[in-house]
Amino acid sequence: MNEEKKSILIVEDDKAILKSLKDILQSEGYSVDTAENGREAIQKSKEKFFNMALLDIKLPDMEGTKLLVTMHEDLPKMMKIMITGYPSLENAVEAVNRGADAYIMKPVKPEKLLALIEEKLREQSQAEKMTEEKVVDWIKTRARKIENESRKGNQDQER
Amino acid sequence: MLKGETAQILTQGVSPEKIGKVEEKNRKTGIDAVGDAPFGTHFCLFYETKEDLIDVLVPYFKAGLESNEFCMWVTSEPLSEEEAKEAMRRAVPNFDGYVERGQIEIVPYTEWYLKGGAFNFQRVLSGWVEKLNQALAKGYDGMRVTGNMAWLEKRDWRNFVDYEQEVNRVVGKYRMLVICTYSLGKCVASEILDVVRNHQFAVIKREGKWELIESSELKRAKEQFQAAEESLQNTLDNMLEGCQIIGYDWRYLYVNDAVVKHGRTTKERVLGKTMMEMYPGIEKTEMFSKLQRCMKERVSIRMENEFEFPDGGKGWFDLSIQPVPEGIFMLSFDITERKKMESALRESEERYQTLVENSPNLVGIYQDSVFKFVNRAMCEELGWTPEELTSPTFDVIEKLFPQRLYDLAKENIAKRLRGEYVPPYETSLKRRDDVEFPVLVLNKMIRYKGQPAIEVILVDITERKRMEDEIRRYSESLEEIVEGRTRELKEAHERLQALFQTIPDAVYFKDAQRRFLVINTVAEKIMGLTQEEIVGKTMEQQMPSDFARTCRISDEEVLRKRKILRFEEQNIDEKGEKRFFETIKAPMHDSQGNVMGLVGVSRDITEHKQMEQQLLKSERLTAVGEAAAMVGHDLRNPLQVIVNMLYLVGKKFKSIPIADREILEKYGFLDLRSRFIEQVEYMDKIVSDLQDYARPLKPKLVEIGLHKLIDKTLSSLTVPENVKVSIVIEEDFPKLMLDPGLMQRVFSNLITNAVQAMPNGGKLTIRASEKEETALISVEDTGVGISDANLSKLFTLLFTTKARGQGFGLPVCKRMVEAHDGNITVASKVGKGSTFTIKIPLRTEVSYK
Repeated sequence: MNEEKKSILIVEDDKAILKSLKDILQSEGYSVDTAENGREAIQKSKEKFFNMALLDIKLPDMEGTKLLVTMHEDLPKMMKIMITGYPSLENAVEAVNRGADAYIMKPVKPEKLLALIEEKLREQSQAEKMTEEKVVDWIKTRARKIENESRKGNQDQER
Repeated sequence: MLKGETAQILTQGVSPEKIGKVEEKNRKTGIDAVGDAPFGTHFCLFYETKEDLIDVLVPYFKAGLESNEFCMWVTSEPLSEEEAKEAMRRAVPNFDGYVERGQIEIVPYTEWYLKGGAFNFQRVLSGWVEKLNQALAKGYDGMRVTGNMAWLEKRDWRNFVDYEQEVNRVVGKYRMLVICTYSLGKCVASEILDVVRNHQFAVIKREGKWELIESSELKRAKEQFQAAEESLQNTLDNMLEGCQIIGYDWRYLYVNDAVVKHGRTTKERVLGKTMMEMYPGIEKTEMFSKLQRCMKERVSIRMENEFEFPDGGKGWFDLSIQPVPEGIFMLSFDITERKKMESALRESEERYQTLVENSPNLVGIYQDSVFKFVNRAMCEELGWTPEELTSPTFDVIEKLFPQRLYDLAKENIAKRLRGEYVPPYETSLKRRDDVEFPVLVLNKMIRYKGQPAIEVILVDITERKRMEDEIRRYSESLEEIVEGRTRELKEAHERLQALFQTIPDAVYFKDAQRRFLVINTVAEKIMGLTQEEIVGKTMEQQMPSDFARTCRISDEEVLRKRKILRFEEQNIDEKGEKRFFETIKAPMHDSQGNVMGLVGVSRDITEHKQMEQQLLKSERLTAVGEAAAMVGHDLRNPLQVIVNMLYLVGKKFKSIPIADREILEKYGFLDLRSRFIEQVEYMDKIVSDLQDYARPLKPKLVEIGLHKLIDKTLSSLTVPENVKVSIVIEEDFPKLMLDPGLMQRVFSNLITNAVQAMPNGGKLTIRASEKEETALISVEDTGVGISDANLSKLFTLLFTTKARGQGFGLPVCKRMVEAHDGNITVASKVGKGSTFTIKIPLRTEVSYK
């Protein structure tokens, strides 16, 4: 486990689920925040960075998918897992197309959920690393390119 | 007194019983024994001495002179002419004055009876009448005579008797009194009888007193006469004919009731008056001149006279006028009515004449083989003049009939003349120009001028014949039309009959009393009755009462409202199952619009009904399913919470120190947790089933190996250890195109059911094989099995035999398999186990759209 605590935002209108899920995730060492509706979720996600959001597909003030789209635009790096009571491939596909990183059906077995969260967070970490590497690569490539161009420019001038 | 001749006259006009008496004053005879006697009295006196003669005859003549009568005394022995005068002078103071005035003549018998030397009774008789007429002319009331027959010789006796008879007959007619004197001493008995017989009565002296003797014959006649007189008087007065006697001075001497009635007056006002007084101006009339002629010339006259009464009224009378001694007798008969009838008859005859003459029909009178009369139409139609047609030489048969009809015409005429009835018949006549035309002959036997004749009426029926021909032609063409129509009707009827019998609905006709007229075979089948059993009967006579009652109500409604109406009816069939019918009933009318009955068409809509109910049920189930899905969704969240809690419990359990954990284990908390988990999983399955049933299925097919799918399914389930699982899949069994999520749920359900069917353990076998492009996958158990009754309901929603089942599992499986274009069947034996078999068509991804 990483020394730095990973933060997770749970968006769920059922308080009992919210509480039990928070307990489970906290017991696993995550930093957990909760939101009971879409508006609150957006608010909280702007105030603070979350590694991950667990989104119920049905929310009192907006569709989970809508929230998903909004969050994906604002916080593309945040992992987003959709939880739905209506298991269907269409829902899953749609969720994924709209930027969900994973999809899980109610009732969710805590073990499965935790495994999924861990997996996704690892993916996130690797992606970050990859990104860092890529940036370095890009800068190196770019520098080299500029260097080459300037060299070439010089050669042209010489001609 | 009415005298013989008057009576005789009367009998000419009326019956003899009607003789009556004319009122007239009697004359004084001057003879005590006789008293008064009327003119016309003729009697005899038997004397012995000349004193006897004086004794009777002197007062006799004295009375005569005093009564203004002319007197004539013919004397004979024993009393001489002088002695007689002497005796008269003694009795009548002014006797010589009478003699001088000529009122009395006394002559010897020689100058009267034997004037001219011998007795001639014709001369003597006419002498008397002459004397009388002279007397009447001189103004005397009448004449009074006597004659002595002493001069009569025996040889003249018979002759004299004849004379007396004649006198007796004649005297009655005249205004005379006659006494014949006979000497008793000279007469023998037979002669006395002769004398008495010829006189009305005799006067004779007996023991110094004069007595009147009537002959018994005379008496009898008088009595009869008297009796007759009274009744005749009565009858005369009551008779309808008027009877009146008018005197020489035109005074009314007698009138009966009818006369005064006709004359609108009374007897009192008429009698004694003259006709001129009664009817001023009458002397100028024709009738009066006739009366005058009768009065003077003494002749009978008969005439019809229209008489005008003083009040202006008119009447016709048949008058019969006869001379009578009193003057004239007139019998009048009111013929006003007859005259009216005659006039009416004349008019009627004229009308008939006009009618016949102007009749469009040909009218003729046929007698003695010729026409006696023909009307105008006959002449015009036949082309002959009336003179030609009625000519005795005109041959009716030959001229008027076509030759071929001669015999028939002759036969009919002969028949008619024999008096046989000949009914009206049709024949043909020919005109003068030989053109034939049809006629109807009406003939009648009549009498014409007293002889049998035939009245013939010929009706020209040319027009009628033409019409008949036209009608015949029309009716012939009509027959063709009718034949054609009949054929069409027959065809239409056959078509209708075919339709009637092949139509899948029950069709029946009923009369206005709702009795069946005809039903088709479907109706027979539905009612369970044959045509023969139901026709002529009503529903209630043959059917269960409830059904019959509803039918009766609907029948009556249709008949009453005269409208086509639709009903839904129910009946119980022979299997005891309820059948539903949609029935349309229509009233049938005749051409006048009266309701003749009705036609009904019933369609069995039981199946339709059942489908309707099924649809209703499925709709209900859909609603139930939706409700269940909602419940399932709502249960998901609490279920999620419980699952989370149980996880936390496990987590916490691991984190507590070993000693404390052992205590909890000791008290069974760990076990409780696992039992919780078990039930939560079951709840999860129920909720999944509910949601699976409700949501639309759109399988996403992916290629997958069956074995892998089953293994995955089994791993998610908890199979008890006493259930042995074996999977038998053919080696070359191909990969399938399936929605793994859905099929996993199917297998999961089937395996769960199989396990539950084997509470005491058993063998669970899963087989898969390929057959004709179809994958056969079966799940087989050795459990309790399913009863036949339950088998058919197995896939029905909400059917369950489990204490804790909602009946969603198998229906969900069915839906899911069917979503793969497959099907699922079950075979089972109670106590042996069940086999569920899934058939899914084998296909590649490409073939699936």
